[in-house]
This record gives sequence, structure tokens and C-alpha cells, in this order.
Amino acid sequence: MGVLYLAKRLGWMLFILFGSTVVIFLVIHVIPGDPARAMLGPQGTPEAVETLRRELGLNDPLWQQYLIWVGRALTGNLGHSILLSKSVLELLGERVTTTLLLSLYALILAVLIALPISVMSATRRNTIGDHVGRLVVLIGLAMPSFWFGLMLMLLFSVRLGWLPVFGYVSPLDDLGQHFSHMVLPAVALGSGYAAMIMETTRNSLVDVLNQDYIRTARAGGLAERLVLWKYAMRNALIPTVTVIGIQIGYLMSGAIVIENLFAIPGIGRLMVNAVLSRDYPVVQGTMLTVVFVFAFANLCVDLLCAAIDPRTARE
Amino acid sequence: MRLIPISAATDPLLEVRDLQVRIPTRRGDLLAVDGVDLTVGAGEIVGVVGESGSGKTLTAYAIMGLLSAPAVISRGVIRFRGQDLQALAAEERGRMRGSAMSMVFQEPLTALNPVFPVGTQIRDVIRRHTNLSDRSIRGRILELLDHVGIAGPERVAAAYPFELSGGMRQRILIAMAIACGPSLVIADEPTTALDTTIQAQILELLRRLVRDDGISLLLISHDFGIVADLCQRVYVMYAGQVVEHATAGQLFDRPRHPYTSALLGCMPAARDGDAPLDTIEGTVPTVIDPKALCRFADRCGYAQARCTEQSPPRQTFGVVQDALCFRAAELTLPGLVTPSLTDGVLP
Repeated sequence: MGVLYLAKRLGWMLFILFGSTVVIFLVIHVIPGDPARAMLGPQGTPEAVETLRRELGLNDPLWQQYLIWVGRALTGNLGHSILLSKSVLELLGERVTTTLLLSLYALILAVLIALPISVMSATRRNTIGDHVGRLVVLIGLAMPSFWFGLMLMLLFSVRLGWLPVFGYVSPLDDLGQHFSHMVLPAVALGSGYAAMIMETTRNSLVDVLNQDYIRTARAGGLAERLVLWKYAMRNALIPTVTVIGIQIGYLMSGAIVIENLFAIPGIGRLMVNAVLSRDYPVVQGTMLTVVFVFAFANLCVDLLCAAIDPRTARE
Repeated sequence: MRLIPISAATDPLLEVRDLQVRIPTRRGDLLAVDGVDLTVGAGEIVGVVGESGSGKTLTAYAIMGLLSAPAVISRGVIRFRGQDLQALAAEERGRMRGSAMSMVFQEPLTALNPVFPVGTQIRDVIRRHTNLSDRSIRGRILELLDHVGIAGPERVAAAYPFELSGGMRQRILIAMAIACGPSLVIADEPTTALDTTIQAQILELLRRLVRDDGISLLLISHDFGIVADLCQRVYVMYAGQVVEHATAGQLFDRPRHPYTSALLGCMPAARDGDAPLDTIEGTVPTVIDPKALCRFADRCGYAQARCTEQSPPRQTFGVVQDALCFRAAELTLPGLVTPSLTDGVLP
């Protein structure tokens, strides 16, 4: 893998981060009305509004405000929550791990479910197994995750009582409890993701198995196992990894919904609460975090793609 | 050019009898290959010519055991070194593919796996068929690459297909095909995707492998020039059937089937220098419900009423030549007139 390629991807990631800071910063100033006024609500006196404006630096020119904000963010100072008596960084720290764990479980679950089914589906095309598999994919894609989460909750927690209804336990406190609280949210979050991975992998594998180089491998007498898992899979996984990367955004937005449904104290819940209570520093901080995670995940996917497919890195 | 070893006809390395390949479609079963007889003797280069859709590639896949569903062999026998290949278990057949018989494909870029170095792809074939240590395999790969005329084998073995030229890639495929010392190599349009200069080099390489390594070659091509250059005997295929079989010399001097003659007329160097090239009107028919008629009749300039009423007989001429035509004996068809004799270049 070329150093040049790595540098290019890194540069691209920095560019995305820069662009998103501009957008996140401007969001506060684009929404109609005065942020200070909005924060204080209808009860705020004009004096109080003016004081807050000065405190927040809202009277300075925009570019100056932006530079100050970015400069602080770079040193880890994301400001203080207006509502809660904590710094934004503190609030994030507690919750980022939770969200990352939830997304990771959903991702692992999705891959573990999707890969075997898509291989079965692609190698036994147009059999009953293939049709059932594709029907499941269709259902998985069509089902909104919050609805699916609710159904899971009703069945496994309320009716059967096998799992806790909602809430969260840190893995440091009790690993078993942690997992029993995370199972349903991870399934609800991962199902749509699994469906996307399955559809992509099945189709790319079907396509790859018809390629000339698969016939060459067979003409060399290679065992069918080697042909499928080495010669076909390595090629079929290229679109899969790309989709996994692109859909990390889907996973993050899904996490926001699922965290609110299952009352999991993650970034998504923090963000929604902050938006509802107009806690702007927290809104900015959470958005910045999500963007950073997304950009970093995409960098990882790009590097993974380059490792799988040598053509990517040497274009 | 060597003369035909007549003994080859009596004790062939490969013998195909009455081969039929059927592809089920919505409109009925398509007979992509229908009653093909074909032999390849030890050390022989045999050509199969015909347009796209004539069934030549499917014949090759059937021999290699590479037909993919839904195409199936519905009739016929394929014997290799006297052994009935269809009687073999899949595992035995797999062990034979890539070692005793192997294949070189038309499109050298798509025929190599894009995400593995070419050395790895050759290594996997050798590993499948031998018990050599990794070090000996490594040595064998470099030796093979050198043998097929690749300079700097270490560098090339580590390269990915997209880093190599078309000619290099075809040499890699040939190296892979001969890696485990096959007695038969089937080359399916091995030079079609290459530049003319590279074509000549690859053909020369194939010729050398037959001469020096005792390999027999079944060469599939649509190009009579290549076939004339390389092959001792030629099968001309049309709509799934062999319509003529002859030595290369007989075929060009005195073709017996109007289709062969028409194909020769399509060659750029075929007839008078100034005369426009001939073309054969129409396309190769797909045969779904075989009727008793000559499949070439509707495109044939010599067709008579009986040609669309009965199946033509196979008429034999001398030791080797035969043609599937009513009029094979009576017609004197134009063959290949070399341009040097007609366009006055020579004094």
C-alpha cells in the first residue's frame, strides 16, 4: 500500500472534518432568530439576552467566532452545557463508549448473520434457501428499526421476560448484565445493516462466480472450497466492505433512534435531548463527535479496501 | 510444417464421439453441440474453426469438464488416454484438470484473478497437483515463467495482473496451463485479444511447447490464418456440428463444404487483391428442434431443394477429409489462393 495513497486518504479525511466544522458552526447561526434569545426562551429579559450574547461572543464577526470555536475544539474545549453543570467533553466522554459499543455489536452481529446467508444464497441460486434468504433481506430492509426494536422489546422483555426492557449497565460494572441489556438494541440496530450487507454480498458473489478468472481457477483443478472462499470471496468482499463503510452513517443515525427507544445513555440520546432543550454547545459537540467517528471509520474502510484490492491503492 | 502422423488417428490421446451439449431454455432445449466427433493425437496440433455460436468453446468446456449449469452433456463419449472421462468421479476429474489436461483462455486480463499476484495463482495450481515444498514450488514458478519467455521472473511473479501487458498475461496463463506437465492443452482463441505482433510471439511459444515438451494442442480459433500457420488437421464447426474435417493443406486447396469455402473467402488475404472481401449473409442459427435438413442451407450459395428436406450425409475423401454436404463430391469450391500468386508482387 503506497504512502501516497495513505496521505491522500488522510488529506481527504481532514478536508471532510474541516467542511463539517463549518456546517456545524453555521447551523447555530442559520436557524431563524437569535440563539441567545432562543436559549433563554420567552421569559428572558432583553438585558439577560444581551449579557448572554456577549458571553457567547455572538457580537463578534462570524469568522472570528468560528476561529475561536474551532481553536477551542482543537484543544478539547467544546464549551459548557447550558443546562447541565458539566463541560461538553465530560458529557461526551461518558456516552461515546456506550454508542461505539452498541454500534460495534450491531456491526459484528450484522456481518455474522449476513455473510453465511449471502454465500448460501449465491452458491445455491434460485433454490428455496436463496428465496427465503432474499425474502428475509427484503423484510429487514423494509422494517423501520424503531418498530422492530419495539416488537423485540414486547416479545422478549415484556411477554417472555427473558431480557430487561430497557436501560444500560456498563461492562465494567457487570459484563453479563451489560450484554443482556445490549442484545435487543444491537439486534434492532443491526438487522437493517445485515440486510444491506447480505444483498450486496450475494449480488457481488453471484457476479464474481460468473467471471472468467473463476473458470480459470476451476480449469486449474482447484478444489471448489478454495475457489469459493479464496478466489471468489476476496473479490466479492470489495463492494461489501465499501457498503459497510458508507452505511456507517446509517448505523450512527440508527443508534440515535435505538438509544432513545431503549433508554441507553449514548451520544444519540444526548444529542436528541440537547436539541430539544436547545443546549447548543452540546449539540455542536455531539455532531462533531459523530462526524469524527464517521470520517475515521471511512478512513479505516478505505485502507481495508486497499488491502483487499491492490488496484485501489495503485490507481 | 510437419506431415500428419497417420498413427495419431488410430491411437488418439483425446477421442470425442458423438458429443451433444444441451442447454435448457424457455423455448426448449438448445443443442449447442450436436454430434461432434473429434480426435487429437499425441504431439499433434488440431484446429477447431467456426463463427461465434458454432459450439467450439462449449466443446472445449465439455472436454475439460468445465460446463456450467444449465449446460449438460446429453450424449456422447469423451475418452482421454483411453479413459472415459464421464465415468470419473468429480474428485478424480478435478485432479486431472490443470495437470493432465489444461486450458488457455481468450481474454488474458479477465482470466486472471485481479486481487492476487500472478505467482500466487500459479502456485495454487502446482500445490493442488504436487507435493512439492513451498521452496521447490517457488523455483518451479520461476522456471516456468522463464520457459514461457518472461524476463525478470521474480518481479513478474510478484506482480498483479493489472500491472502486466496483455502478452505477458497470456504467457502467465500458458505457464499456469503447462505448470503440471499436461499432455493436452486446449487453447481457446489464445491470441484474439492481443496485438498482431504479440499474436505471432504467443503462437510461436505454443508451437515450441508442442515441439519441445511433447504437448498436444487443441487450438480453437475463428482465424483461418492462425490455423493454417499452426495446425495439421482442422475441424470446421457450424451450428453445433462438424461440417468439414481435413488436413490444413486439403482445406485450403480443396475445401469440400460450401461453408468452409465461404469462410476462406472472408479472409482478407484470400482472393484477388482488388476484389471486395466476401461475407456470409445471415447468422449462425440456434438449433432448438433439430429438423432433418442442412443447417447451412439458408446461407449457402449452392443449396438445392434436398438440402432443406433431408439431413446431408457425411462424405469421405481419402484418409482424412470428410464433409457434411450432399454436393461435396460434385462441387469444385474455391479455396485459399495465396495473394503472392495473384497480386503480382512476386516476379
